[in-house]
Amino acid sequence: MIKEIYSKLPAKILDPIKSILRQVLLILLSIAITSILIWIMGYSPLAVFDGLSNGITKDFPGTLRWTTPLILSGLAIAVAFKTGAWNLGVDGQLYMGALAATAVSLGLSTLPGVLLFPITVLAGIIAGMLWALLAGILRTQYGANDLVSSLLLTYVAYHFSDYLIHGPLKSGAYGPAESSNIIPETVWLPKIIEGSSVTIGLIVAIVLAVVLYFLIFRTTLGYELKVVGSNLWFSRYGGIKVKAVYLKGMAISGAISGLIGVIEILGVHHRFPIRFSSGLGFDGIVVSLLASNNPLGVIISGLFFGALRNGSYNIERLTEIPRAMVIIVQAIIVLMVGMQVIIKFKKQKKDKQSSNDDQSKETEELNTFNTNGSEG
Amino acid sequence: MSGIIDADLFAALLRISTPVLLVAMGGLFSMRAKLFNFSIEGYMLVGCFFSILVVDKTGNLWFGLLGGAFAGLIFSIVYGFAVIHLKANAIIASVGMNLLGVGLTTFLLRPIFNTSGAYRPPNMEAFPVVNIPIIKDIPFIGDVISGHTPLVYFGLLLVIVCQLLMYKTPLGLAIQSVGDNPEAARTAGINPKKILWLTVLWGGFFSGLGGAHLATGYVTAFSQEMTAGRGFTAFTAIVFGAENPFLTFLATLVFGFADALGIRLEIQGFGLHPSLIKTFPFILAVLVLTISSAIRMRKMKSAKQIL
Repeated sequence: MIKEIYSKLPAKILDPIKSILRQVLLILLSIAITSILIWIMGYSPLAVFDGLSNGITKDFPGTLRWTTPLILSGLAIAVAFKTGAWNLGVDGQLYMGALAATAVSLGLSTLPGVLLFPITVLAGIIAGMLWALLAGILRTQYGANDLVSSLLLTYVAYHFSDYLIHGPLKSGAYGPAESSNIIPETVWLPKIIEGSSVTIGLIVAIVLAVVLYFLIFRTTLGYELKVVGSNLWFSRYGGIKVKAVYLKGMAISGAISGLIGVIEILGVHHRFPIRFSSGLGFDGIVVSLLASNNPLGVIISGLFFGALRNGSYNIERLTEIPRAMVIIVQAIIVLMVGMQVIIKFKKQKKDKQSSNDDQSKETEELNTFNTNGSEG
Repeated sequence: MSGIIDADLFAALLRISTPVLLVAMGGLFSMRAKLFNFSIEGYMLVGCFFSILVVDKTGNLWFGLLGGAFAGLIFSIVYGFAVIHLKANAIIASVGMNLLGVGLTTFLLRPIFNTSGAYRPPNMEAFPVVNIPIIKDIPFIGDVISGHTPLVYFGLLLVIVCQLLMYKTPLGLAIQSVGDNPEAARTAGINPKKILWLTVLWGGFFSGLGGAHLATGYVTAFSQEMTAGRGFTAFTAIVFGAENPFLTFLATLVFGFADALGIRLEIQGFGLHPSLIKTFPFILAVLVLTISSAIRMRKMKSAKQIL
């Protein structure tokens, strides 16, 4: 019976279901490995599940609070990876966006909200975009590896933000924690759940995911981004301006990263607490990889990691089990996704030419990319 | 400026660049074999943690160093398995390893040391200092070169060893040929997998040692994410040095100089904020990366290969 239904379902419905099942399996395996470690260290082996169920059932608004930046950071990575831009500097771009938004809203606080709000948001987005473009331009102009430069620029952003919060943006009166002054109330994001930190930022994140889905899969620019990402040679011959398209991908990725900073400041903190991000930018890599860099998938995977992160905070408060267990789960997921990608390649290769052993591996991989490019 | 640039500054430069130097010497062989490996930041962090753990349990700094190095080695097995055997994407696997390093060490702080954030073993001692006879009496040079911990000299020795290993031994040539042309290497009877494994484990060991030195000889504590991008600067040094041990060493000195100068400026109250000074090594690293890439790109002429 089940088999009959299964065979009747068209591939369009079946394939996403299959891939979701595969990812769920991968998540469970990662949690299992982490749980063994947690158990060895003398804690309850069910801690991760406790955290998840706590995040979903007991404190759902808290989960949505974390889902917002995680979806955005997943999107920033998804766009970059689709373009073949190794933007590992989302965390730095996020800080630059947050800094710009904080500085502008504090500096122009006398402006009416109608003006101040768009200026603040725009400043944050542009700051994030420029920080990403810096790494991008260093690659297009000088051939500097964008992965390394975006990572190094992240550390520049960390220390630079420390400096601003200790120095020029230092709070006059606010409590013991180091932070900027509280930003004008006129730019605070409206809440969609009272008594929580869930703001319209969540809606923005979801809408953006849908928009990016259409951008990537339904527009010429999206097609160009993907082609540049999957095969540079192919796209050069196809008349696509590789550098320009690559920079567009980097700019979109950086703009989204800046937006994360804006939403965190305007929606959650209402000031710039020093080093507030706790790795949100790097979490985007896991979020996006788990969703196979698909913007719609990022919504689901963002929700999952939101629940995990939120639950881990609550569990740490209740039981002293370090919330770093979540980082271990994430790391194992990243490692497994990394391996799985290639298993897929291997299958494709076997389908096409079964006799060829692993001779001239690289060229074969290039061929796989080639066909992917022309299909997409 | 005379109070800022003196023998002490250069001595500090040698001291500060040693951990990064050890990590860079670890990572460069796998990079030479064209195995993109920036998981060295993760190995380094694991080395930091386990060296402090061993020192805490045994009270012996040398055991601590070894503990950190072997922890890095064991940790790198995961990476080797993922990338060499399961053909995982090296960049993604590196991201995963670095995350795993952060996750593991942050997590274990609580159950093992019953603390969070940072731990300093109560029985922590300082490494003995080596005073080199004759050299120590030469003005300036003596102050710069003599009077360091043994690890500093070990680092310098390692550069020479790596240089010889890379260019003068069959193993080094094998590593190069695996990087340049795996097919030709295989025809010549070299097993590329074996070579790649060797380079990965070597990277794990020396990155772990670099971390161990950072924790036991420099910071004398473990703190959460204490490597703070040092592994990435080591990685940049390798890229800058084009996997040549000696050039890579020079690059680590450049970063070390930025670090040492920053600390000096901070102590002397030069008016620059310490956080601003901490951006120096990273800005410098970006510049160095850009300049070396630009030179290489000009050499290759055809920009097609890069973009």
